[in-house]
Amino acid sequence: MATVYRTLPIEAAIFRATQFPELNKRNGTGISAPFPIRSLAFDAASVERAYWVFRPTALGGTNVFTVEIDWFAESATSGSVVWGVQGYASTPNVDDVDLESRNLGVQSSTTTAHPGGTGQRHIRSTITGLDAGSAVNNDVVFIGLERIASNPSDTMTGDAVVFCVTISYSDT
Amino acid sequence: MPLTTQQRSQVWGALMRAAAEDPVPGTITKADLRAAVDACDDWIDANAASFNAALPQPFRGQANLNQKILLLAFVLERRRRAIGGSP
Repeated sequence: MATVYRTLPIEAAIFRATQFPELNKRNGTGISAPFPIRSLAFDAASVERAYWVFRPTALGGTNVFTVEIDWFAESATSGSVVWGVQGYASTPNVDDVDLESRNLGVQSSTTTAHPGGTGQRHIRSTITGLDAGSAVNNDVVFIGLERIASNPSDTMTGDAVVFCVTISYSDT
Repeated sequence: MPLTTQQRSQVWGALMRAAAEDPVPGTITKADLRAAVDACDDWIDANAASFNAALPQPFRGQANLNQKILLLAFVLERRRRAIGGSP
């Protein structure tokens, strides 16, 4: 039994016509060897969403996913962010449905508090048990990630800047 | 006339997006910031007459509301820069 990890590239995020996070690149401000950070900046005042598509190879029978969101706060050193993910698994040559009119499944969410200290410190939020609709090995899975800024528990001011999204699952 | 709820919400959102100007203390929550926006807008209404009375003639009598608001905004902005706020 092993856990399979797949990073969903930030630059591969897909957006709908409205309510999407800003895709940008932080140039890095280190003194000796700065490095750039590709990121999605999720707004604090309105709900924004980003989407990915991936193919879960070696997916076992458990067929639920764990989503890890790596982010930092643009400016805040307190408050919480509420993240939500939804998925839809499509089985090729089996599912006889209009793919374009599908909806994502039930949303799973988590609330993560900024631990204080340095504002732009690295924070990881983990959402477990995402059910994309009984996914099976080699399906294609569509994933939607949003900062649920309208949730009363989302109290952090400023953008939540996501720089890595990882999905994982068991191969058994 | 105070801002509408939507206009106050727009100010609130814009403040949080203006990260380069560092407009919000890191320890402030969204609810705290919204309360400050509301209080600021309420305070302007409560003190508008006092501000107008402080303006000397002939400016007070001849300037329209837009010109008086611009005057206040320009002075406030200059004060912000004087204490080190980014241009």
